[in-house]
Amino acid sequence: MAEPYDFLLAKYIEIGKENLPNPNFTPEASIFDARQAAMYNFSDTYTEDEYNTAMNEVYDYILQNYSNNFARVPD
Amino acid sequence: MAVPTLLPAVHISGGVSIPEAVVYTTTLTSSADAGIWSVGGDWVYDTDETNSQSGTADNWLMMVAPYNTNYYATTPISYNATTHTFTELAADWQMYNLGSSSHSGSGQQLSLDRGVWGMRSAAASFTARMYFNDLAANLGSFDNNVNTVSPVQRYGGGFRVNDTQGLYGANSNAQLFYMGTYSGGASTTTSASSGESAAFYHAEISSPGGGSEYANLGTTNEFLFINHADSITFNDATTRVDINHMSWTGAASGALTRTDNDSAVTLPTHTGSTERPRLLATTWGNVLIHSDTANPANSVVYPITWSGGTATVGSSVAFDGGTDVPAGQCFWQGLDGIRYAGNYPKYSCGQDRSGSNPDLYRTVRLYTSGSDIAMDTITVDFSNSNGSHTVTVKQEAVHTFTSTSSTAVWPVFMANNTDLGIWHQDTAEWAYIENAYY
Repeated sequence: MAEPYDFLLAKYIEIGKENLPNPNFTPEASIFDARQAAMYNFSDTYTEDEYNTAMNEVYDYILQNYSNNFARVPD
Repeated sequence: MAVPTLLPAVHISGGVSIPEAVVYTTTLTSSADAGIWSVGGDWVYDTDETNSQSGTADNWLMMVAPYNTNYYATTPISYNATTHTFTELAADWQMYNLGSSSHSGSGQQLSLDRGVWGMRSAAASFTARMYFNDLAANLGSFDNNVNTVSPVQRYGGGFRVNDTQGLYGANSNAQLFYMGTYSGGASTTTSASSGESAAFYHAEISSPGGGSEYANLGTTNEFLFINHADSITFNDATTRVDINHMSWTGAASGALTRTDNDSAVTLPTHTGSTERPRLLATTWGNVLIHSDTANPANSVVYPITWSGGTATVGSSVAFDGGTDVPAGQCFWQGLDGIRYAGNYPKYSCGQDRSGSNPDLYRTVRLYTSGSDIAMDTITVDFSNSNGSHTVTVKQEAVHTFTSTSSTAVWPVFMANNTDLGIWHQDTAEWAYIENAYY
């Protein structure tokens, strides 16, 4: 489980930081782009439920620790 | 006291007198910094609306602290419109604690002191809950906090549609909607579930336009959502936009009926741009705004009209801001008072409140300026049903948020139709701008 979680977290942070100049950035939608990237990367190594669980945990981590403010998230 | 900043005295432009903008800045921060989910009082209410919290504050807002080790919380804060300063009225108080360390959600204001929230917790099989609520007179608790539905294995939030209606929308682990009606108190009316399907993935919502009242331009019991072939993944190769129409009977447990408008729009090629299209309601229908952040000149607006649940999409019109006011630098999301996700108040709706042109939207442009983020105030007139529109810069570089690269803001458009309050999350700076619009 660490593998898709770590990948998803890194991708989500990358997307969030790229979108700092975008006033319409929506974390709630962009987390799905990160999930899609993870599914593409690992294919059927993991189940859809495992990707979803990793996605939810990544989303919660950024929300709870950084209030979805990607400017504060370390690289 | 906040110190005002006057812009350089430019009063005449092209022979037109421009009211001078006056900017008051102060810090708005607390343990809660995940957004402003409700705003009330004289500064935002219409003259026929009553501030039930007037004994506590003439002007107030509620901020959100996300779940961390304890619970979701909110902090009541008052605003002194004379000194332009905030006062935290009380410590943050618990809104939701569904258990487990994996816990999230979001909520938005419907009107007055009423809200809609969607919460989810990893506890009890990821039980999610939809709530309608109203605030106590002292802003220190809910008078009512009604849990209307509790689906398991869902993950979503509460979204405002109009003054009395909201949605619970879940994108994962399965996708569905509920719609409900709430006018305060303990009574609610909630639809049946939409059913679960990838067809309900949603990256943007609105409602078929047709109304004229501020922040209520949509149609009662109806909403719209965008996805892309039953997915919300949007990359720089995505051109298919499905605009799905949902209609509720309005009755308790009444059905939600979906009308697909698959491939309603085919976006132009937007290589290098991953900015999602945005929907806004108008008095005659809706506009879909496609911002191309890589090539701003390629940004376009599509007009959409409705016959029941069937959309008619007109030809695209080049975004009037062009490269001078790039569409991708303008704040659009939820500008019609109908917003997908996040903790936002009703008054982030930028619709004109004078009654003269309900299709005139006030908003801001945010752009990088050195190591800062500069801001213009602008208006966009969407009154023409063929999609042609007019972008007007009202106050250029009216304020700068310093030493930041973030453009995450929470605007509050004031009842006087001229002033703007705006909170910049990363710097925790609040700017109150008199004559932001004129």
